[in-house]
Amino acid sequence: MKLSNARRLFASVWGILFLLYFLDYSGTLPPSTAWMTRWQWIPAFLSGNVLVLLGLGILSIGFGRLYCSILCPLGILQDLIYRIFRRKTKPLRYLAEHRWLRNSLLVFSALGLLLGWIPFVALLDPYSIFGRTCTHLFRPVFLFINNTFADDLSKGVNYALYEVPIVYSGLFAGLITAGSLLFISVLAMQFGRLYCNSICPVGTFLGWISRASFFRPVLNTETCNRCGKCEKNCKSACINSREKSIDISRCVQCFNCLDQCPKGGIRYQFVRPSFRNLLGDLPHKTAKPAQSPSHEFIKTAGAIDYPKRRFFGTLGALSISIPLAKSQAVLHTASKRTTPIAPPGAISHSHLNRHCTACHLCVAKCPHQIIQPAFMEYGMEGILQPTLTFKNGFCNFDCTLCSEVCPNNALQAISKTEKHRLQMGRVKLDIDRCVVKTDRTNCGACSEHCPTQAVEMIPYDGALTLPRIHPDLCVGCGGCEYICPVQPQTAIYVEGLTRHQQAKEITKTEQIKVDIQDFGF
Amino acid sequence: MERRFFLKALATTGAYIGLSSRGALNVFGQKTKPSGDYDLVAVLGGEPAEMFRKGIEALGGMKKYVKKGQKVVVKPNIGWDKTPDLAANTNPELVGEIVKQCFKAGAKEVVVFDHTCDHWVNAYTNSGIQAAAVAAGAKVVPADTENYYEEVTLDQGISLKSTKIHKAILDCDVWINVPILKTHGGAKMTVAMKNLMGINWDRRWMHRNNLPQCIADLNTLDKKPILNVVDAYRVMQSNGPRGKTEADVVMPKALFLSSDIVAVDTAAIKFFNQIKDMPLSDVKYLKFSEQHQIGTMNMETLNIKRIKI
Repeated sequence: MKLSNARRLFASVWGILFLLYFLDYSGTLPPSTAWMTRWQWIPAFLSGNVLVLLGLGILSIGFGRLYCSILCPLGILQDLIYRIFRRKTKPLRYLAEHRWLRNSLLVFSALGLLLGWIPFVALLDPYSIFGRTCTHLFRPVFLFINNTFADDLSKGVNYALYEVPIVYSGLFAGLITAGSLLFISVLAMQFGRLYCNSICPVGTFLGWISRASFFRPVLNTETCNRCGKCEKNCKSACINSREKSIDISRCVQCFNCLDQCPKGGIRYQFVRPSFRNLLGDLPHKTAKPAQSPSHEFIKTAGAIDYPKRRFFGTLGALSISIPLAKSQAVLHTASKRTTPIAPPGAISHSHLNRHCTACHLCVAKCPHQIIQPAFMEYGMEGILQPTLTFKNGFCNFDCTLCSEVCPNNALQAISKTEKHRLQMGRVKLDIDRCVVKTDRTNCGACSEHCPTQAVEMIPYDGALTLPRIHPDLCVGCGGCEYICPVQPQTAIYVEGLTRHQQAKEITKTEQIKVDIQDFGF
Repeated sequence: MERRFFLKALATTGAYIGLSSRGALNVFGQKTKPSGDYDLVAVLGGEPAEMFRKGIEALGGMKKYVKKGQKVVVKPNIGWDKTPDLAANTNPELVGEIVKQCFKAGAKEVVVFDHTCDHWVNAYTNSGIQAAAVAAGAKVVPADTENYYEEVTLDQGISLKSTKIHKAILDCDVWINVPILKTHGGAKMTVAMKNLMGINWDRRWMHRNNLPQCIADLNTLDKKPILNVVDAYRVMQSNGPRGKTEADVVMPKALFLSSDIVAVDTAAIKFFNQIKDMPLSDVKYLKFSEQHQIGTMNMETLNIKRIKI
């Protein structure tokens, strides 16, 4: 089998499974598919997964940027976009390296990772970009189709396939996701892997490693007649047929070039790494300076009208900010909560903010769909990171799914027993707005839902009962806030904690033994 | 000879008319209560399936309630993501047996569902009811999204005048209401009448607008359950309806059957008073339901069969 076909086969299977993993709402896929999200560079680094880092490291030293072609879901997506939407009239060509851009972004990202300022990394991490694209774009479309056919296909209850309400995740997440995808898609359509080679910090990092990699496409300078067929088919724009050279730091090991040379002049070969290779090609004079890709892009786009662009840009930014703020309010049903609630396993806001790259896998997986992306609730250091909202549901007392799936360990896996004692937030009650007081009517919905009876009903007036809260017992599940019939701002709600705590243990009372011999009537 | 025969015939006919006129007789299909000998059957001791068999036999057999070729709904309490031993949901063995008996009586189709409080997949699975129902041949359907429901008016409603009811109820020929006996934070007790909240879409509205009155209003629904079977094999005697720990559960092993939903609730709560104090006057929806003339709280007027296993 040709190497390029082997690559296509592996990448297709991996890519499809990856997408399915995000879409799988019923847990039908085998549990091992969860590993795909962990065999990613930035998640492995943030979760301190030494095994994966070693494994990926060995893969990269052996085979250069092979990760970019067969393991990176965003890379696979770009290859698909390129294949379907490429402009066949305009062939690819060698482009100069955006050296300053890619390296400065790598430096900023590395600083961010080390110092704990993650949002910058979150916006650039390819796995997280793909994750958000799946959660906010592919998933709603998939669910729409699913819901149309779920009833017909399942005929009763089918635990693999059933109707799932489509929940709106807010304008902010939608915009960032759509914006990133649009930007990357346009680059992919026109230039192949330009994002990977000029912006992606993982790509740049691997580019440095690949300079010392053992196996790589090598151009035979003797047989090469500069026909340029390889260059015209290189998605990484890294083959300079004029100079008869391949910039290995940008080669994503797709193997397409191997099939192109009519003289068999490009071979996949073992190369003994040398120190010089590590530093990369020193800049040298060429007969004709290569065009920078940004210039290419602008030329094709047409003449630029700067004042007009500035005006529309500002207008656009202003018109977005108000609906943005409003949509976040809608998401949180105008809850009185001022401190956001971090999902189970987050340990603290600080831990979450320092480890989460907002891939939104937890958002996609939560059975009640109560995990939603934050806007500014955590501040700038937590944009797009998950927070709980009790508009559509509450946190199931026994459920630990989000903490199990997080590949960054921003949400660290916890057991069911630990979950029962975990306090993510504390209950608060506006007793004067409770319907028992205002309408003198028996409600009790809050206590009905409380798994720890952190809110219990106590005798009030006659047969009326009033809720009384015990915040120490509260786990912050939001059952009370979810069901409270007082709208739009519920009378009972959960206030978030910046650091998760332990709830007070439920006092175990003795089990009553009854021996009833009669009916009582 | 002829005179004695005539007198005997008169006496027998009179007795027959007298006995058969017992109970409400209504022209509109579902409302016709089969004129059985007993209005209420109470069973104590034994296992759920066996208790139901004895109970239904005493009422005159399942054939009195389910006719051949009918589409039946069996509506248990599957509210919570809890295992059967925690008494938050109806006993799965009981549900399975009821489904089995429906088919035996000639039902064409039996559907089982509940509008759960916890996530429906977890509740259906962990309660054991999905498995038991399917094993007995029932079709289990979800009830978690609004499109399963249809708007229905409640002409007699005082607070709740219209509401959305699950289409399975509206489409079936008859339905059987199978609650579990538990305490309830807001309504005091949850038994058969409150179990109707599981065929209803908007729970919040009912909690907001005089819950006990809404429960009574909901029970004025045209399509009333043909039979109510109250599971008191295990009972939640505190921290209901969800329960906190195993300490909330007791196991009195009882079962109550009746077509009169108010009567069976009254009987069950009177039974519960042997475990804990619960004045009937505290359970307001009972009084409100009598005002709607849905049934009677007066046990004296009922013909009750008590069975001890």
